[in-house]
Amino acid sequence: MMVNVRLKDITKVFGKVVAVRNMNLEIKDKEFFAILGPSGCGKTTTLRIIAGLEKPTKGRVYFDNQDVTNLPAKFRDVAMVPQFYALYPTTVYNNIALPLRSRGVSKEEVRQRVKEVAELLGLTDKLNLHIDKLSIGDKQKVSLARAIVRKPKLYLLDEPLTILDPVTRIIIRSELKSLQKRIKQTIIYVTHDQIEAMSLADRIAVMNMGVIEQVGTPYEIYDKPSSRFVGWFIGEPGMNFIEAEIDKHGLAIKLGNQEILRSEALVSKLVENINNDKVVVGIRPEYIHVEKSPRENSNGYTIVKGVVELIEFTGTHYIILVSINGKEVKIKMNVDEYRRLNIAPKEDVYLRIPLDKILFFDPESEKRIL
Amino acid sequence: MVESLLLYKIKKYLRVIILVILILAYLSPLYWIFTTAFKTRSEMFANPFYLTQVTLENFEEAARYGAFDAITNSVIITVGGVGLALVLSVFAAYAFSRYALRGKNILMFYILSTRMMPPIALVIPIFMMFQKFGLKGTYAGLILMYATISLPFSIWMIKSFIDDIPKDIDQAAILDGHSLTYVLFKIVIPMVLPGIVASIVFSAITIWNEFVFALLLSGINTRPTSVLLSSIRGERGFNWGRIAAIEVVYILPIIIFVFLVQKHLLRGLTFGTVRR
Amino acid sequence: MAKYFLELRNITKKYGDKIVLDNINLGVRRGEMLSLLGPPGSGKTTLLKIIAGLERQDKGDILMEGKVINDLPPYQRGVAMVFETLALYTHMTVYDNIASPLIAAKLPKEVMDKKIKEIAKFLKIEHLLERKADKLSGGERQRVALARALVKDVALYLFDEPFVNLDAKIRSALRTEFKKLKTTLGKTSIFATPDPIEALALSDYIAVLYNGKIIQYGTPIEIYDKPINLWLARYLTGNMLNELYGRIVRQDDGIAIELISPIKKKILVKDYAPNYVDVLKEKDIADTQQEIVITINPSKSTIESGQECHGLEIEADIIGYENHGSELLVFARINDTVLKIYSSRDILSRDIIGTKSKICLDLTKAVIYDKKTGKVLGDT
Repeated sequence: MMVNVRLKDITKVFGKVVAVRNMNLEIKDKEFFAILGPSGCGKTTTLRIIAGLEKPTKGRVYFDNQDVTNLPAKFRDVAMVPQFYALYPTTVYNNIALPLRSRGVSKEEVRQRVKEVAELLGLTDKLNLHIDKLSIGDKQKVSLARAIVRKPKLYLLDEPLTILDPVTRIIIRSELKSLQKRIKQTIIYVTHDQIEAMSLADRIAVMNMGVIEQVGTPYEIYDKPSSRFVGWFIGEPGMNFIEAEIDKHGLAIKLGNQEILRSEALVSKLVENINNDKVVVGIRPEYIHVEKSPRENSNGYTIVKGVVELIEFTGTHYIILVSINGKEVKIKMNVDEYRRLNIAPKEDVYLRIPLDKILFFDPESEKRIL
Repeated sequence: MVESLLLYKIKKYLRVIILVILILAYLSPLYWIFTTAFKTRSEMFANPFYLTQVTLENFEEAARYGAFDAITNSVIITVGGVGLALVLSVFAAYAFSRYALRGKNILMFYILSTRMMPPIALVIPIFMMFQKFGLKGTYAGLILMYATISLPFSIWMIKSFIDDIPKDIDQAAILDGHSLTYVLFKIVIPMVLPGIVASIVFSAITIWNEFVFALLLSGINTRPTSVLLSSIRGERGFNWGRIAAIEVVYILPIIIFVFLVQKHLLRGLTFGTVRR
Repeated sequence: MAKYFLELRNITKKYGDKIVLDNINLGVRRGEMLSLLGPPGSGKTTLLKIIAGLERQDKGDILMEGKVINDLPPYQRGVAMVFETLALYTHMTVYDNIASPLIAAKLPKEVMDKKIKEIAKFLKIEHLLERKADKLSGGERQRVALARALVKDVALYLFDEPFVNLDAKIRSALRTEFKKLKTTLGKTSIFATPDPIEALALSDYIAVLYNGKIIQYGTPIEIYDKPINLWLARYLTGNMLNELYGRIVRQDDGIAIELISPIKKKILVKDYAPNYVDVLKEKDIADTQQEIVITINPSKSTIESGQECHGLEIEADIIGYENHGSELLVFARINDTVLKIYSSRDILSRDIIGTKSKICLDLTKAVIYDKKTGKVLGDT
């Protein structure tokens, strides 16, 4: 059983609110696909449209090129695992068996399939326990089991791990990933946690305010975000964005009175795509190196001067907030390096930035140009 | 799939049809009353579903019969009862919700339990009490009685709403420097308005329709419409036109009232059911 | 001037039979940002409310500027608070919410208006002033709650888990802004949170609360580098700690650790963790064959870096990873233990998921605990 899901020009409006706007999306068979975005971006609505729990205001939904837009949810053969598990007050076994029993599956077959699924999820020795006696992690597993036992074409998971504590979350997360490889089905996973999406998915659709900003593999999105939003949303802390000026005569990009780089090719490419003289420079916090004394512009790098504003210790790293001519950037530094450098607020520092990691965005459209 | 798509669709439409039939059946008595109230005597027993002549003579008769006074009494008693119950239950609900009082649970259960008793069991003792205190036949007496009847449900409903508001809000206001009065009137009450409206509506409907205590405790001048209607049996049978006219005037205010507050009422009815 | 701006002496609070706060002693200096770090139910909110005067302690004293304020009503304590539930007046506009404390203080309208507009501008919520408080997003509500507290010009600010209901992204963005705010305002504040990263990033000092008691007090670095017990060590790393179990034995050539889990190996302390030699030399530790837990932070280990391993080398199966973008948190299993190691992204190109790899654990950076009591070995 396989399914490829396609959404064509889907729009969903609730009263005056446009939850999903003109969405086109294709999810390949056997993919672990994540829909990622902040609360309220429309990802759950999208999932519900795929499930058939919501009817799109406009647009069509296709499963394997078959138009299922008007097909009610129960006929689509999808299993949905919600954020807050909805279990019946009975044993684990009965909970998992229910979807089968209500479809008239024989007792023998029910027993066999429940056993299979329980083994898959490590619930075999808990089958006879009442769900009251289970931990939240196990309850969520039962919720998952109920979906898997139906052998549906498609799995839809709506932030199933958010209610779990960090330990259980990690465990179930890795089990989910290996599970998907074993059951070989298409999984669509909705989450607002970008680490989760990056860790689990083959491909991710990043959504914001009802629109998909980018679809790609985790590293495609991380290294080449197509818009400011994607650059900011992925990664912790997100990408830095600084407004810089294009000096058409000097063929350079400048930050106030500091020159970041000088390149005719680059500047002409930018000028082609941008209307005015400003460009937004994007650079991830971990690529910026902090030095206490100025160095010559080494090949492939640019050096910019700034002042330390703030230092945040997160246990595993230090996040340094530096102000360059009034514009702020965050730098991610590991603990050893920080202690070696011994930086303090209000100090002058020199930031060494690799040129090949600098990205350029259009200030108006906020889309990436280079 | 166990059932086919066709069967599913048939079942869906069938459900809608049955619902429509049920609604029509439910509303038909009301429809009958309204048409009858405007029917002339000659058409009274003709086709029940429509009328060719519209007349107001039934309403004139009703007025002569004392309907106007009865409706006025209903209004006075209901507004009074609801008002008194409201004032008392808001304060009681707040106290029960926010303060840890010794014996609170017992007291709450006691208040709720008064509602569980069949009214008819209390009729004799109440009647005697009212006689003794000179309350029989007075507005005050009836208002007191109805306020008492409405209190349990009101307190319980409003308290539930107040419970849903985190105590933090009261505390934030106190920390801001406001007095307890301000907290109650300017902050808590506006936030539980749906619950208050719901309890007003339920109390109003209960009191407006109440018959047993009204019959027993009201006098000629203070009797509400429910009592009037019960005395309406004439020598020659029932004057349906007059009855219908009184009923129209009796039912209309409540329908209009609920219609106006329905937005708040819905929130009040579904409180506490869904939490995100 | 008193040494501490705020002092808590022997504060105890019970709810029925449950002891919520057990003999709390704490001092907060003027201008300091103190975090109360602890899991839900550890007593943080109760402590803040007692400081604010909204609840009363059963025993103990609260002193402000050296004076006992036990009987002072909340309003007169000069305290502002942001509640965990935010406690916004949802039926009022943002403007009226912020105005609330000023209305209670009976300030003239023009003065009020000016202050409200100032703070709204500062917190970037000017455009929301006329909106009703129940029509705001999570981040916006946070700012309004903050505005209502900050518009009061008081000496002490209390924040009860103000970021707990927000998306991870917004939370970290607000965290930086908050820190900037704190630096600008320079007021004394106490911040309660269950999130160790928040406490570490924002505070000058941290008091760790567990079951109503303060189990450790210190600067973020002091606490992170040497958590006082195993529970705290696990809590600070979000349960991402690597744990080795073993026993201390005395040998002729020195103190050794006999590792039991996840591998069986005997190692000499002076070779692997020379900094621990003195601590473990103490007579009673070595002789009782004390069982210990060696904890290593995931950031202090490496996977097959090609360089020689100067620490403990363990071969394990790479079972998965967490992708943090700039680096990976790799999970490697050996027997029943899962080791967690931070690694750069290039290991993915080497396609090692599902294979056996050599993990190098740097034991000089380890923190050792007594297995039975959970207490850290050596002084803090």
